[in-house]
Amino acid sequence: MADTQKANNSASGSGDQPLSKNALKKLEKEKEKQRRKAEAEAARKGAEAAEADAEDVSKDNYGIMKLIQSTEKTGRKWSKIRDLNEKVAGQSVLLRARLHNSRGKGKQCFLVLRQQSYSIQGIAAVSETVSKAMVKFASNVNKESVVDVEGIVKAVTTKIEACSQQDVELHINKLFVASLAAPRLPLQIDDASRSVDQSSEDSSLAHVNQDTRLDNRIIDLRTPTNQALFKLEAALCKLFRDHLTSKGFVEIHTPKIISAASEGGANVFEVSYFKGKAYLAQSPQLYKQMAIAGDFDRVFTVGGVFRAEDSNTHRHLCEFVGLDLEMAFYEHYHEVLETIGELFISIFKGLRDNFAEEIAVVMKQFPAEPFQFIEPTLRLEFPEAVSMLRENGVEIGDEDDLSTPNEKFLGKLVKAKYGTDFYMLDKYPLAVRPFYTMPDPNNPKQSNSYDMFMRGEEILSGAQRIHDPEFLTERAKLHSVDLEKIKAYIDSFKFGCFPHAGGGIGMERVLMLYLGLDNIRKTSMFPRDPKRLTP
Amino acid sequence: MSSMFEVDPPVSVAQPTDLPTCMYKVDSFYSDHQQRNSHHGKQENSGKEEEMMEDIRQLEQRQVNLLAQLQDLKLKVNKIAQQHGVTIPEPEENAAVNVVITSSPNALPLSTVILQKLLVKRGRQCTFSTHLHSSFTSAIPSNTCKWLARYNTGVHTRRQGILISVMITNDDCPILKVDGVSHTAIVGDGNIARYLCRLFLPILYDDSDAVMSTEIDSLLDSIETSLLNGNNREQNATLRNINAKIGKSQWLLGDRVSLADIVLFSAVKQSGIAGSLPNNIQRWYKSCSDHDGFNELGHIL
Repeated sequence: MADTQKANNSASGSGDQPLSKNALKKLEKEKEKQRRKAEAEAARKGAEAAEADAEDVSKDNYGIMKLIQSTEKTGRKWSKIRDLNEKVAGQSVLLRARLHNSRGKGKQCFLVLRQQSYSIQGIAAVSETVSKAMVKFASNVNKESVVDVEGIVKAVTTKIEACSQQDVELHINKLFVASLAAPRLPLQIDDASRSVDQSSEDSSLAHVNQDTRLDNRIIDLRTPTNQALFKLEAALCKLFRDHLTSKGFVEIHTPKIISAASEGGANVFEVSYFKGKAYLAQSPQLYKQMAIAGDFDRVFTVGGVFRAEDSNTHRHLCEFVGLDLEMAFYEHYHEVLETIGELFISIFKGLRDNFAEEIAVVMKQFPAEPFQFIEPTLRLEFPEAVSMLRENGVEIGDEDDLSTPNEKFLGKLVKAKYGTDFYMLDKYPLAVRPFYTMPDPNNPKQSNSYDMFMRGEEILSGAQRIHDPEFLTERAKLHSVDLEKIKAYIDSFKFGCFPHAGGGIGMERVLMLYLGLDNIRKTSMFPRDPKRLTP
Repeated sequence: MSSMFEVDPPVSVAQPTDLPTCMYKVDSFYSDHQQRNSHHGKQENSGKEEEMMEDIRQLEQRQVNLLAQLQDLKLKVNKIAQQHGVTIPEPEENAAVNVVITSSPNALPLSTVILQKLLVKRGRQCTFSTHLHSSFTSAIPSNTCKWLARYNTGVHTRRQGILISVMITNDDCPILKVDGVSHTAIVGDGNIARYLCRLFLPILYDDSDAVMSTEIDSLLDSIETSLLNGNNREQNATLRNINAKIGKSQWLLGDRVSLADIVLFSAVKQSGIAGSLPNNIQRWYKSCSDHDGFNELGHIL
C-alpha cells in the first residue's frame, strides 16, 4: 500500500504533466500485483485457520504429558513389545516405550519404539483421526524420550529388518511424551550397538570408544548387547547360587570392612574408621574359613571385593564381584576340585541352553568363537603345563609362576590338544602361593593348590588350606607374616576344624571370557579402575 | 640330397659342456670303496675284512670322541650354572605320556581298548579318562553310556604311565593328538593303534621282521579303506582276501598275535558284520572273542 502511495505521490509530484500512457500502464500492473499478493495472503491465513480447526480431531491424542506424580490409577492394560506379533494383529494396544527413532515423511511419520532389546515400527499417518499437526509432532519428539503410545497392531507383507518384531507394525493414534530426552545425545544407540566387524569394514561409520561409553554408561546400557549382557550376568550369578545350594552349600555374608589386610597387605584400600583405620576386604577368604570352623560344612558368598592394584589392564578392576566358596572334604582336596568343576559345567550349560538368544545378541556385536568345554573338566598338573610350554619353546623354571603371556599360550596349547577352553591347573609350586596353602605331602616343592582358566586367562584361584594352627604358624613364620596380625585367623583353628579347600571366582572375568570379550569393563555395569571412579 | 642347402648349426655342440648338477661334489663313499676294492681286487678276503674292521674302528673312535665332547660340554654348562646359581631342569625319568583321542560314539577307538588291556596285562600303567565335549549335545547312545561307565574312573594320576583321554565329539573319525601344535594329528582307528603299538607294544608290530610289519601295514590299510570306509563290493573283496590269508592258521599272520588281529577284530565289531563273515574269519573271530584283551570289547558293545 505504501508503495502505491509512493508511486502516486511521485506520479503527482512530477508536476502537472499528465502521466505517460506507459507509466499509467505500469502503475496499473503494480496495483494488480499488490492486490493478488494480498489475496494470496488472505487465502493462506484462511487455510491455516481451517487447518487449526481440523487439528481438533486429534488435539487430545498427542502432546507432552504432565509429570507423572502418581495421581491416578486408571487400570489400563499395558502391553509389552515382545508380545506383539501376527497373533495380536488387529488389536489396539497401549505401550510405554522409548522412541528409538522417528522419521517424518510428508503426511506420515515412521517411528521405532523400543523396550529393552525389543523394538517395533510405528507409523503415524494423516487420516480422519490423525491430524497433520500430530504427525508433525511425532516426527519432532527428541530421540530416546519415553513415550506412551496407543495404536492398532497390523501385519506387514515385507519383513521389517530393522526391528525385533519383523512381522507387525503399530498404527499409532495416540502419542504422549511421558519423559522428554534432551535434544542432543552424547552418543547414538545405533553407533554404540554396531557390530565390531561392520565398523571396521566401513570407516565412515562411527565407532564409540570405551571411555565415551563408560562416561555415558546409562545410554550405553540401553543397547541390545548390554541388555543381553547384564541379563547373562544375572543368570551366571543365579546359576552359581542355584547349583551350590542344590549341593548343600549355605550362602553367607562376610564383612567388607576389616581390621587387617587379609592377604599380605600391599593392595588394600585404607579407610578411616572412627578414630582408627580399617581396610576394605580383598577377599572373604578368612571369613569363609571361619564359617567352616563354625561347622557350616559348605559355604559360598557373593559380594564386592576390593583390590588396590594400580594395574590398567583389560582384566583388572579395583572393585569386582567375588563368587567365593569353601568346602570341607573327607580325604582328598580333589573332592572340592570335582565340585568346582561340576559347578562351572552347570553354569556353562545353563547359559548355553537357556540363554542362547542373549549370547547370540552379544556375539553379533562382538563376534567370538563359541565357548567350548569338556565334561568332566580337564585337570592338568603344573609340571605337565611346564613341560608343554617347554616343548613349544618357552623358557620357564620348575618353580616359576606362569606369566600372563605364558598362561595365554598354555591356553592355546590346551585348546589345540584337548579342545576345551576351560581347564584346571593343579599342584602349583609352593613358593608362589600364600602361607596358608597346604604343601603337597609327596613333593615339598609343590602344593595342594590350583588355578582355573577360561580361554587362557585365570578366573579362579584356590587351594587346600592349612587347618592345623601349629603348622599354620610355622608356615606363616617362613613367609615372615606378622603373627600378631593374623592371630584371630590362626586361633579359629585352635578348637578343631574340618579339612577344607575352596576358591574365589571373579564374576566379571567369567562372563567376559565366556563370551570372548576383550575388556572386563564391558561386563561390569559401573566399573572401578585406577582411573575411573565415576559414574 | 633331399634338401637344397645344408647349413652348419650356429653353435657347435660337438663337445657337450660339463654342467654341474649340484653345488658341491663329494666323492661317493661306495664307489671309492669299489675302486679301492678293484685296485686290490686280486688280494685276499682277509685283507678286505681287515679294512672293514679298520673302518668300523674309526667310526667307533669317532663316536667315543663325540660322547667325550658332549660330556665335557655338560660339565662346563653345569659349572656355569653353578656359578650363576641357575638350576638346570633334569629330564624326567619315565615321563608320563598323555594322548588325546577325539571320536564320535559311532567310531570309538576300539583297537586302543584292546591295546590298553594288553598293556595293563604286561604290567604297564595305562588308563582311560573319558570326557564329553560341549559340541556333543545330542542324546548319549547306549554304547557310549557303557564306555563312560567303564572308562571314566575319575581318579587318575597324571604323573606316571600312559593316560589316554577320550573326548566324545561329533567328529566321525577317531583322531589322536599328542601335542595340538607341534604334532600332526593321527586319523583313524588303525593308525592310532599302530602309533600306540610302536611306542608301547612293539612286539606286536615293529619287533617282528620287516616283511611282517609291511604285511601288517598293508592289512591295516585295506581294513581302513575298504572294510570300514568302502562300499559293499570292496568290503566283500577284502573279506575274501583276508579269509584266504587266514586259511587254517590261528592268527592273521601265522601263529602269533599281531596288531593286524587287533585292528581287524575292532573293525568287525565296529561295522557289525560279525554275523556274515566268511568261514575262516568266522572261526578266527570266535577264537579271538575269548582271548584276553579282545574280550574287553564285549563290555562296551
